[in-house]
Amino acid sequence: MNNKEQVHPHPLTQVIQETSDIFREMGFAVADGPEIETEYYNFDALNIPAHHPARDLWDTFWLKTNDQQPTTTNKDKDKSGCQSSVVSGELLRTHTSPVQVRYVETHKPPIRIIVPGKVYRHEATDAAHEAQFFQLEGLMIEEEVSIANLKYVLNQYFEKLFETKTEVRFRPSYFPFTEPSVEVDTSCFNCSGEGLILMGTKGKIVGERKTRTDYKVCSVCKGSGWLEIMGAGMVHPKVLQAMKINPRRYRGFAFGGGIDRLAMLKYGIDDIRLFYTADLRVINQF
Amino acid sequence: MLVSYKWLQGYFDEPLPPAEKLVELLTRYAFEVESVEKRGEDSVLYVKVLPDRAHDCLSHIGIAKEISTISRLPLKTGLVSARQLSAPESNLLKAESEDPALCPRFSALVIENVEVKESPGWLKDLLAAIGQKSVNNIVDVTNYCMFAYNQPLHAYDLGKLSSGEEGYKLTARTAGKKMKFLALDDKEHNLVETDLIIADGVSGETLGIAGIKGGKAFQIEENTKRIALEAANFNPVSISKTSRRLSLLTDASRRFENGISPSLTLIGLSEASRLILEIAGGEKIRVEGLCDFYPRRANPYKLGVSLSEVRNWLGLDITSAEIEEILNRRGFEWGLVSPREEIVARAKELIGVPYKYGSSVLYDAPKTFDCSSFTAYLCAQAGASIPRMTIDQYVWMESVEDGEAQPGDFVFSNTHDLKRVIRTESVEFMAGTKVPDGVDHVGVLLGEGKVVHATETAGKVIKEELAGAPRFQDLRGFRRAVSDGKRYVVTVPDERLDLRIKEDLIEEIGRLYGYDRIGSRTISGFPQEPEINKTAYYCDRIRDLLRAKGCSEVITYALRSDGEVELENPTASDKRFLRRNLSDALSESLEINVRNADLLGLDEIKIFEIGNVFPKEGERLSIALGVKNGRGSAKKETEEVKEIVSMLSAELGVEFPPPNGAVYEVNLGKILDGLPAPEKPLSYEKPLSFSYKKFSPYPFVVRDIAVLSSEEPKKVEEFVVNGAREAIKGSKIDLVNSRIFDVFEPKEGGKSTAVRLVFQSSERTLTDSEVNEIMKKVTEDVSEKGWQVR
Repeated sequence: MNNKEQVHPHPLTQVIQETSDIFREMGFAVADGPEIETEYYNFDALNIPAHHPARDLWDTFWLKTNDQQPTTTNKDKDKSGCQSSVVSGELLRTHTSPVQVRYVETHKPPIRIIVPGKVYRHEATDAAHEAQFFQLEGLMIEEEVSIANLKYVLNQYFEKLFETKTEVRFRPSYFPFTEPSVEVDTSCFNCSGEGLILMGTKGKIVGERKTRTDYKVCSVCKGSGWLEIMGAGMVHPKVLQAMKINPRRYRGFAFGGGIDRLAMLKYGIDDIRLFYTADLRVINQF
Repeated sequence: MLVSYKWLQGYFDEPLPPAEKLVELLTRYAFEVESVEKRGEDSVLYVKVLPDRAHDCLSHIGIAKEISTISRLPLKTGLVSARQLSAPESNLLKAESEDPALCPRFSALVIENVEVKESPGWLKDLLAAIGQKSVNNIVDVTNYCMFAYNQPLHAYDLGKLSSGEEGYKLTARTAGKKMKFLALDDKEHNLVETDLIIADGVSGETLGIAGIKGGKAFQIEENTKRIALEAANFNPVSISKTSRRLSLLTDASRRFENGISPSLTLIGLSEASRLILEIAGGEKIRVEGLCDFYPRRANPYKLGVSLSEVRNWLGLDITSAEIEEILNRRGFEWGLVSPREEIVARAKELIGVPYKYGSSVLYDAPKTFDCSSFTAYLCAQAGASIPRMTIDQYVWMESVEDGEAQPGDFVFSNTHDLKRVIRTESVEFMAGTKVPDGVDHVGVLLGEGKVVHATETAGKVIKEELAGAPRFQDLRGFRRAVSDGKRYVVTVPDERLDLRIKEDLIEEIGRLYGYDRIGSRTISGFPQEPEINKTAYYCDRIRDLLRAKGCSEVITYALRSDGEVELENPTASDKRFLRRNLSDALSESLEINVRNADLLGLDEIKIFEIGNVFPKEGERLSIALGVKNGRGSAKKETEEVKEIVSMLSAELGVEFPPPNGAVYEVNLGKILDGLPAPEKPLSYEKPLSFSYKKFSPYPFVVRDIAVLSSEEPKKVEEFVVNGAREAIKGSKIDLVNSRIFDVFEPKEGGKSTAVRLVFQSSERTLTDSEVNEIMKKVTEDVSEKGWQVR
């Protein structure tokens, strides 16, 4: 930690830079957008209408409006994180997905972008949760795009990021802005999906398996062999329409996940808050 | 949703796979299962039902159907969902809804001579397994039916209601005025005008907050003899608004706010009456009758998809046989149709059906049509969900050349009928798409020059020659709804409100086939070089430049105790505002880090942050950097900052405003505006992989030692460090840092080398005396070497 000639960027910056580089090779550009968003871009355009219980999936910070008295009490919003008044509010974006819509409004397909950016969630903080964190969003829209293409792209990404052969697994999921929707797991990079680590080594099981007692449970995947890492799916036709793209002609996939979680996994950091304490005892290790 | 294994088993004749196996199957094909817990002889699964499946799977029958589909175990035959409730119309009770948009269906059943008592053990056990308290047999049955079939029920003591000339009456209506209401939870709730309530239709008294909670005053008690069971269907948005405003989220409100099928009311009542007759009565118990208010019955929903669509969306060479197997296993009623043939065949059947403007496809077809509900209905039968309005259909469909139009294609026109608005812009599909000449009428081609269309002028669906047809004088062209491939047309089960577009059906097929069986397919090269994001490019440039100057990048919290933009719902009072700048947090972070300068082995702390700030003028990108000296740093902090900033100006070729302090901040967005668009991406060097090491939470201890010798300082440091390492060997103390901090040659000769040693334990706070002990040993070593400790 005392090698000051080797100051590295913040670990999150490092993951973002590496991610951007990997995706650039596959033709994806980086897009960005504001952190203060409108209800339209954060929710409505993404097929998450007001008063729909799906909004509960995102606990939202709303901004106080200066000129209007909100018609609901703070308490209501605290409970639900959902604005139930008629005031169309500004909010802190709860995901980077609004940037998809903003970008496509000004670009025509074919589209390949990633959006790394800061997002906010109205929730209590602990080692695994932060009110602010970074998300990685991806979007590809062309005439012929499929779930199988999504699998390819994510597989390439994880193999390069974790520097090991990786399997990607999809499971059923639901997001208002994708249909079909999938949960994305990758095989654990630490144990190569075995769930076990040979004692006295850092990594993979090589050659014949010895007896069970020679192994310990992998601390990264807790023995499951898989890491839950992202949500993804085919862009919902309503979202394509909000982007002014004719869903009869184009299809797309989108994915999104936490950059903090990727960095925690990649570097073995066990507390998300360490990214934001500005503590050089952490940062100068990088 | 908590799911009892025993409860599930009740829906199957054959034994279910063990709970662990169910978890695996559900996770792979339907839902994640958070946990499995043994409770007595039962196992309880916590199934994370996906939000779009709340319509049908917040129920044991829903989960049982999933398991049956996945595991191929057949459900028991004759389950209640397949049975009809056979009860005469009630003479005692009327149920009605004042606004069918808010309460589309209101079914109620009267049962007489019930005996309110404790529930039987099996019922108490099942409810207990999923965390429900037993109240009495009647209330337990209503709860049981909700968790079994997803239909919330409510039981009223009919004796407590008022009776008029026509008997009792339950009315679903809005509250109409502000009122207080004492609910079953013994809490008083403040209702507003628009809240939906259930009222006593005779006395006008409020009986319950519709779909959320019943009233204290009308609850079932021990002496209750005659009950009314309510099974209604409510508007999801209305229930959601009320329950959230009241912070009253109940098992019932959760189901209603997600939306459930109106078809469930009779299923719920049927099962409830069966159970109540079984467990709540003597000989005289009887179902008096049913009242079913259901003015607008929805048609079954039809949905279609083609083999090639399933293949293209999933990227999978699935076969027709595999799709058919899945549809059958799912229990769907389905057919394989040639779309245009189907459209023609159905159109012919419907000639003569009355015209009614504004007819709904879901509710009025095939009894009445207008021109576009007719075509939308035809397309639905052929497995194409097309928009409802003529202009949207026009935009949605593919244009066909005049000579190419086939039977089953559609013809559009502008009638110039001034009675209605003739639209020139699409409304729902690709809203705002211009159709400059306007379009307001559509019909379907039968071939041989014939068209079938629903028309107001004839008052019905008619067949006529297209040439010369009065409504088709000014044609807008021919269009095709679906390509020619055969389509699987599925009649969606009532409760599956999540299946509404073809993508939903693709998902259903894909997940039941197994997402894990979808391989990966490469993507083509991108036609052009990806754009370079200017902001990201320059931020990364700056990061590189600052890093070369020994600056570390930090990311601080954007939510702070003061600022200019305030949050409506902060999580804490010290996080009420969005930061107005970066430098406040940066200054704090300098203070904190400088205390660790010795531990870090740094003379000065140099940090920067790039991030968005939120002054009242609006969000913008900012950069801040700061320097703070540790012990023994010679350079002035302000000088150092100046140097770094002028380096940035020189390297980037843009003028940064000059700094005047140890912490500097500037509007980075503005600076970037003055920079050219980047031409090629920055080269990126992948850092070496490594693992983060936890730092000790305990304080570190610093000791300096100055040694007079003739040796090179490096040698002296090495000797001192080795001595210290030797001294701490076997203890839980670490030498976490060491460095030479001063070298000079005194007049009396030799060389004085001052070494700073930093000790820390990862397990406890070090005491002075134990560090002194270490230093004593080091000092002794140095003296033995013949050097002098100054």
